[in-house]
Amino acid sequence: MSRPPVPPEPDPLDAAAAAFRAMPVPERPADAVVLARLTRESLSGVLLFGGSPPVALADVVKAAERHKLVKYKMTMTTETIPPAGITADPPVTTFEMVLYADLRAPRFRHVVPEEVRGNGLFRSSGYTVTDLTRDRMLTVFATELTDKAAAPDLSERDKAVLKSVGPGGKGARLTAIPPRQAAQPKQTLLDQLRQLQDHKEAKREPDGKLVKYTVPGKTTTEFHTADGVTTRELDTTTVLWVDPATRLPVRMTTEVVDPDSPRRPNPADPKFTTLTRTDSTDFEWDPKLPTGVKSVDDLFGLTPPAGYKLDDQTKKPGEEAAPAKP
Amino acid sequence: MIDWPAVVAEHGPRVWRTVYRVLGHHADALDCYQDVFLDAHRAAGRSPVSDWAAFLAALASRRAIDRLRGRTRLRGRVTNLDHDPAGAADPAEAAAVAELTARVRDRLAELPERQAEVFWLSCVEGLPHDRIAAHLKTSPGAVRVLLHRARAALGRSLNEDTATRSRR
Repeated sequence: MSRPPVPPEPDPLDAAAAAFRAMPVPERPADAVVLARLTRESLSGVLLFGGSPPVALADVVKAAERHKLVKYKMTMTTETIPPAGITADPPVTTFEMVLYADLRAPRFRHVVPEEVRGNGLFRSSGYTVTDLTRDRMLTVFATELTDKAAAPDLSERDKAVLKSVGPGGKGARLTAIPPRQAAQPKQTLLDQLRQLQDHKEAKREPDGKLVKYTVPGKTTTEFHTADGVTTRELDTTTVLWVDPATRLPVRMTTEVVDPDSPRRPNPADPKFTTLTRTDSTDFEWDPKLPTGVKSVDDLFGLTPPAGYKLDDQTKKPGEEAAPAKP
Repeated sequence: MIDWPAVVAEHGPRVWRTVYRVLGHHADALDCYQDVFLDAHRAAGRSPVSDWAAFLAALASRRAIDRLRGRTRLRGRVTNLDHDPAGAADPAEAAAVAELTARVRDRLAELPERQAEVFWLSCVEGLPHDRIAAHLKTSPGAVRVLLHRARAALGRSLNEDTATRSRR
């Protein structure tokens, strides 16, 4: 007696397609809801954008996705505002840097322009590569003593500065990203734009020839204090200006306000408010690479250029270098 | 002049089914549904649409897969399906069907954009290759290649999933 034929195993993809087709769906939204949105869109398109199609954040993401590299200038300002009744004049700290950012992986290179420092005793320049895929940071620097450093009548302070700087020259330092920073989300600029795209409360308005988006959000911040580590979510406002012709960002600012900052000059004072503002401008998409850099991987490489002496601080005394993440 | 109330009334049900089934999440589907018509509104302002059914099916699947990809990237898989799988009287079968569709969703989000879109339009929506090709601005032959690659990649991923589970 022959055995009955075994039916062939169903292809799981066909089974899945059939399951999708058979999936019951709830009632769809009323047509009036969609039509009202289309009407609003038409009106804002005509009134705000002179009839040209408005740019959606999804379009901005798509336009940015066509690029591999972006260069921009970033200014970071931190301001501490004392509470009422406290007389204090805390400093406003400002950092300015030119950044190259890899759009496909969280790798950044910030360029330190040549600057006379150390009471006029030396010039320094260099760059820092932060590679969050490998939790490593490479700082490359060149220092050159100025004529002032050769003067015979240096003050004690100047002598101390010179001693700390050394004789000048070219050096590089490879360090591990501190665990606190390594634990933060590892995002590219493109990831940040995608997060903005997903935000339902983004407000769009014209700003001259640009389109301006204001996006509220949250930033998770970790505070290390004498009492331990606390994590808080702070209100954040990101403003993005987009060129409607290229659909690419031309400026982005992020403001984080902490009304309950543990940072204050005197621990006995009530908590201060801190305002941290990051202003990114002068975007160049797929810019020309700096002289001597052959590729994007070179740009974010963790090997210093020839002629720079490397101090590998990822090595523990008497050990080989701690392996970087692959 | 496009009669938008007529377009929404005629094609809304299909667009809604597509976005809901791709996303498997009511709130996401609601947003995506409106986004599809906004995109259609903009696109139709730039060039005329001759085949609204295929145009909106392609747009709906593209938008929903985009959103699925973003969701997978940012938040991981959303498992709170708002429905019981159809035709599954047996709870075990219902669970197996829900798991299979969730796995395919995850894998769909990892496929290249055009492969995912072609898989959905051909295998789930049942659109013929020439209509898919017209909307992707490519040839029916290229659609067949994309579909073959999508099925191969999805099949491999599902087999790997199954192997991983059976090892546990």
